[in-house]
Amino acid sequence: MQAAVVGEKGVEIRDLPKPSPKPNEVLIRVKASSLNRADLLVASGHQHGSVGGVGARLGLECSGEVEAVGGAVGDVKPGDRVMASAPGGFAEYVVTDAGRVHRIPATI
Amino acid sequence: MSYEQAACFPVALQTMHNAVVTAGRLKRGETLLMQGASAGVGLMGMQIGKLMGASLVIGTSTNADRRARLSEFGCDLALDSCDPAWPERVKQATEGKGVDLIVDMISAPVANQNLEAASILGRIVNVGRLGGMRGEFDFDKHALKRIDYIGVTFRTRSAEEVREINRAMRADLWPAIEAGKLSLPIYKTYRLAAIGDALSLMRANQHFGKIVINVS
Repeated sequence: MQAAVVGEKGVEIRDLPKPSPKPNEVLIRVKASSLNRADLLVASGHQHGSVGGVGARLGLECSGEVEAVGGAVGDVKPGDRVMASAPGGFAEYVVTDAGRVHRIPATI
Repeated sequence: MSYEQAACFPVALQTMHNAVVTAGRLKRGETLLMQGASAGVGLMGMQIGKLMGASLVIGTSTNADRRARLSEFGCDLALDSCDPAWPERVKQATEGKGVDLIVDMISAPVANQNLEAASILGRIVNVGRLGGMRGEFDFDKHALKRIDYIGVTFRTRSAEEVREINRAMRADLWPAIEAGKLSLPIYKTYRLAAIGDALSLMRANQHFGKIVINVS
């Protein structure tokens, strides 16, 4: 899968293996992501919490379709349209804790 | 709701529900000041304040064009934090009392003015430090007004703490999300391959609203 990663000479798009969800996680096929200030820190090589340095995956949030869920996840299922805070969200797929995932309202 | 719109919400919702409601303890009828209101989190924070019953929402921005747009996102009074008289304007707008809750994205250059603008027993929540990490702090004014100065970050929160923040956020805000009452403007959309251009646009800091990456 394609993902935005901090490289030796700045941010680059790399081909990475598709992640698989741990028991508490949701795998999202990403449709859209959005930028936050902290992305600039990580992009320029700084540490932001546990994320930072060469190889760090960029992005903090995204929306998309649930591709798969871990064994302990009951709130969402494959095919659901969701939004989530998700470290590594600038990628075709991302995993994130199920507690960060919200169903996109169908009403509007 | 489109995927692009949905991608703008999660960080702003979890950050600002926690800052305004949980850490900041906003009560119905209280006044709220969003220090650095024109970024995505600030725009969402003002709307959350209004929704949770703030009687007056003040937002600051140093850019006149951005200030002119804050009223679309719950702001009753837009102030320029470069104007040294802004704390006085806050007092005038709150019958001399000062503002009950300041949610601060700027920090260092406005720290003492925040203390000036806050009410006795006011709360200041340190969410962001866009103006600088270190600065002057009037410890006597802090004590005099018995201000609660609260630091927050997701960087040291456990997975369970983040889950609880999101649970509390959904309980308070999801009906409003489903009713389309909360919104964030999309400024520009890029393809994933153009991530460098998107980051440059954010770094230039001339935008208003969210910069979106269309991945699909």
